[in-house]
Amino acid sequence: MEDMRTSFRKEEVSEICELLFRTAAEGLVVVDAAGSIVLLNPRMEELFGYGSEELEGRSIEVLIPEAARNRHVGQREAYQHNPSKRTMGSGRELFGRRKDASVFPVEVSLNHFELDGTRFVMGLVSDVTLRKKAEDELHRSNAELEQRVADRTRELEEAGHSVQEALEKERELNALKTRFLSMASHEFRTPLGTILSSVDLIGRYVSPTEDEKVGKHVARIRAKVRELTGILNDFLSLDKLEQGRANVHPTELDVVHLCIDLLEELRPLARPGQELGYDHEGRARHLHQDRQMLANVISNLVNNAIKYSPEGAPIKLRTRIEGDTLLLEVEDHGMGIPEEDQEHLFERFFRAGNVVNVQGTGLGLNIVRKYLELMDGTITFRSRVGEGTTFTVTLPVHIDAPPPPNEEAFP
Amino acid sequence: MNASHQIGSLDQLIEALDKGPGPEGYLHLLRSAQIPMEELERHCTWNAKHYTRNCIAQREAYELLLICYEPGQRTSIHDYDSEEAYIHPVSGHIVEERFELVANGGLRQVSSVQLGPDSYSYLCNGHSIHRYAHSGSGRAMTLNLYARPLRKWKVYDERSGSASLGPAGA
Repeated sequence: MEDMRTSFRKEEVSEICELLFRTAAEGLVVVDAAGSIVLLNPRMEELFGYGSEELEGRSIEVLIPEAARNRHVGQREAYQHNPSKRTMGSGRELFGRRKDASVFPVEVSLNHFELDGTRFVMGLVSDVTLRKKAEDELHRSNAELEQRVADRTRELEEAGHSVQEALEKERELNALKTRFLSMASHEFRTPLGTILSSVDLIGRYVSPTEDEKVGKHVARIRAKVRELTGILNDFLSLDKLEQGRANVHPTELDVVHLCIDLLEELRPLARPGQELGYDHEGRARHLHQDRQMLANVISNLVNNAIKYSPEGAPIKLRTRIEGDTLLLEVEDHGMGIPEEDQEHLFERFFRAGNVVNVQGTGLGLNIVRKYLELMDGTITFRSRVGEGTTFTVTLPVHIDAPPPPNEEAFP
Repeated sequence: MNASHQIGSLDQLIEALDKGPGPEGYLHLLRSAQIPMEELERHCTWNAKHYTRNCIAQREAYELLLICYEPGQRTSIHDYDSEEAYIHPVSGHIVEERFELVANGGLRQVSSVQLGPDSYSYLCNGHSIHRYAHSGSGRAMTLNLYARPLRKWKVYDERSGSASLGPAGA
C-alpha cells in the first residue's frame, strides 16, 4: 500500500514554524538565562505596544507592572534552577504592562529549551482581558444576586415577624372576644332560664283553650327564649372548643333513641306544615360515642334544615351503620346554598348570601365540624339553590376516650 | 297464663317477653304483670323541658320503654313503624289522642281518651298517628312495649290539624 502522508523537507518545516510564529494569535517571547528578550512575535508587539526592536535585548521585566517586577526577578531566577513546562503564577492573577504603562490581565505558559548549549525560556502570553471582564461581570452579577437574595430573605424574615406579631395579636383579640362572649353568655343564660320557667308556669296556669291569645304569646316568648339560649350555647361551645376544653366522653348509646328524642325536642321549632321524619336502616343501632356532641351535631343540622326550609317542606333524618361507620343524613327541601358560598360554609361567622334575612350567628356549622373532628367524624354536603341541601355525617361506631392528661406535665 | 298478675317483677316480664308473645299475645303478658313501682323508678329520668324515653330492654323482637312525663308534658303528634305498640299508664293522668290524615294534608283528631291504670292501649302500624299528654299535676309514667323495636318516627305539625288536648276522659 502506498503511503499517502505528506512529508516536508527541513527547509519547509522551518518556513512553517516561522509562519506559525508570525501569525500566532497568542504572544510568543523568548528570553535568555539573564532574562533578556531575544525574540518576540508580532502578536507580542501588538499586545504590549512595542516594536520588536524596542524590546529585543531588554529585560523581560519591562513587560511587567512595576509593583511586581522585583518579585518576578526572583521567580525567574528560581525557574532557571528548576525549569519545567508549566503555567506561570498558578492561583494568582498576572498582569502585563504596555508601553503606555497601562496594565492588562494575562495568562502565561512557560517552557524552556537549549540551543547550542545555551538555555532559553519561551513564554506564551494570552490577553485575558475579555475573559476577565466576563468573569468579573459574572462575579458582580452573582454578588448582586446574593445580595438581593440576602435582602429578600431579610425582608421576608421581617415580614414573617410582622405576620407572626399580627397573628399573635389576632389570636389574643379572638381569645378576648371569645372570653367576652362566653362571659356574657353565662350572664345572659341565668335570667333567660328564669324567664323560660316563668313562661312555662304562665302556660300552665292559663290554658290555651281559655285564652288563645295568651297561649300564643307564651309560645312565642318560649320560642324566642329558646332561640336566644341556642345562640348563647353556640358562643359557649365555641369558647370551650377554642380553649381546647372540649373532650370526647364516649358512652354506649342507641342512635335510634337519640334521634327520636332529638326530633321530639326540636318539634316546637318546626314551621307550619313541616314534618320531621326519621328512618333508621338495618338492625345495628348501638354506638360507643360522645352522646352530647353527637346530639349537638344532629340538633344543629336539623335546626338549620327547619330554619332554612319553607313552611310545609319535609325534613328527613336518616341513619344506618355500615361496618364500623355510622352514616347520618339530614335532608331538607329548603333554599339551598349558593355555589360560591359552599366552600366557606364551615368557616366561623360565615353566612351564605341568601340567608342574611334569617337570624343566625354563622357559628353552628363551624361548631359541628369541630365536634366531628373530636369524634373522628367527617361532614360533607350537597346542595342546589331552590332545591335543598343534604348533609352527610360519618362517624366511627366506636371511639376510645382520650388518654388522661400526663400528670408529669401538670405537676 | 291468665291475668292474675303472675309476673311480679321487671326481670320476670322481660323473661316472659323473651320467650315470645305466645298464642295469647303481648297484651296478655302485660296484663299479667304487676311491677313494683320501686323497680320502675330505677329506670326513670326526668327533664323539666320535655318528657323522657327510657329503655328497659331491647331485643330483636321488641323493646320495652318507660316514658316519664312532668306535669303538662306531652309527645309530638307522631307515628312510627312498629308493627305493634302497647301503652300502659303506670302512674299519672295520661290522655291519648288519635289523628288521621285528611285530604288537604292536615290532621283531624279522631279521639281523645283518658287512660287509667288498667288501660292497655294498642297501636298498630299504619294506623298510629297519635299523641300522649300528661294532664295531671304530679308526675306520670307509661310502660310502652314496641314489637318490633322502633326504626322510623314521623313528627307531624300540630298546627296542620285540629290537634288540641282533649278533656280528660273524652
